[in-house]
Amino acid sequence: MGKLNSFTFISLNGFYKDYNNNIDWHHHGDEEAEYSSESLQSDNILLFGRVTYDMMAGFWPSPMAFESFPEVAKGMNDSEKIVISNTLKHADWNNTKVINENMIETIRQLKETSKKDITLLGSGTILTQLSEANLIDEYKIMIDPVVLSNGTSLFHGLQHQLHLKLVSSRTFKSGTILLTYYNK
Amino acid sequence: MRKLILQVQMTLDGFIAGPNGEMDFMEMNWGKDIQTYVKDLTDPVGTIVLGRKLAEGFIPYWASVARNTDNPEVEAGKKFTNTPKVVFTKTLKASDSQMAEWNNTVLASDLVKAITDLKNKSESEGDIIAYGGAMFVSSLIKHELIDEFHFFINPTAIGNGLPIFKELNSKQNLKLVKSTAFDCGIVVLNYTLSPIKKK
Repeated sequence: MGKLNSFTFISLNGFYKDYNNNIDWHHHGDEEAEYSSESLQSDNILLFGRVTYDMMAGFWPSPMAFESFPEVAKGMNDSEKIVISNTLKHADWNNTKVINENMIETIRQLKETSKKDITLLGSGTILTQLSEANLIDEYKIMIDPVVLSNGTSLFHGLQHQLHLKLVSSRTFKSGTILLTYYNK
Repeated sequence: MRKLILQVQMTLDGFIAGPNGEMDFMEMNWGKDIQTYVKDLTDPVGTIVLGRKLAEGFIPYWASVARNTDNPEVEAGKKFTNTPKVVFTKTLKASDSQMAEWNNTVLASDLVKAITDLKNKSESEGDIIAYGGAMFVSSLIKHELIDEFHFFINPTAIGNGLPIFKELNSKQNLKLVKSTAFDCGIVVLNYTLSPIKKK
């Protein structure tokens, strides 16, 4: 039985991407990179939607990623990965499987059978759906010290209030906050 | 120069109320720690500024709390009732009947001028604080009038609701002063406006 955790970063006003679908407002400094590489050492299965997958698969195998964030890049490329997509047939990125159908049921079964924990990265739409299905055990949410004039809300389309339990908070030198919550 | 403080409840996903102004996301079971934080914020306050909509609930509510000596919040009720208040409105007039019941309250309509005048008074008159609502706070933010933000981030996401940053034309960086986690699950994020504003 694996736990399903999620990691996302948002602006103070709750957007995980701006009106152009950009995330370049997010500041990932040395301290944040160190946190990411520590997190990757837990050898979780990484899970994401198609949009987040494309963004990550386009960056992490690149020479630039290896130069800027060597440890995170190695972790990202080596980790077992799953992408959820209705259209993608095959994923080119190393060690990546594709889920095409019955996302909720497939993830539920994966949690029951997996020996590893699973970490959902980004992927606001999927996060909302899995939250609604009560499948997320832990939420890690980074809040950047910035407000965006417009964008897409992290839990856009959520039908019911999501009540969480605060576990811890951490402050980075950049002014970014990391909040950890459990599902209630 | 007096500073204008914003103290506002917020959902984890950045809304200050539900789509119709609902406040049911708020964590109500406050411990001593967060009560002390709010008291420290409130004690130096000399002026409360309010939008008309919030004022219509806020002023009579705290006046009734102040009259009820059995209410555990009676001290807060007295503080809010006795503190001078400025209500911003384009429709209310000083002669309107409800104004007779509003203690220590004056009306204003020109937001930038009235707030600037309040700030230019002697610091001995205390801090200025705003509590909402969404439209009034959006205007304060748009005109960059707030000096210190205290966002009370509740451990609840609601998916959709009332924003306060919608009137900004570009992204705005903030400078984190302090983050404080409380027993009830609320985290208060304290920011000032960043000197490196706008891209």
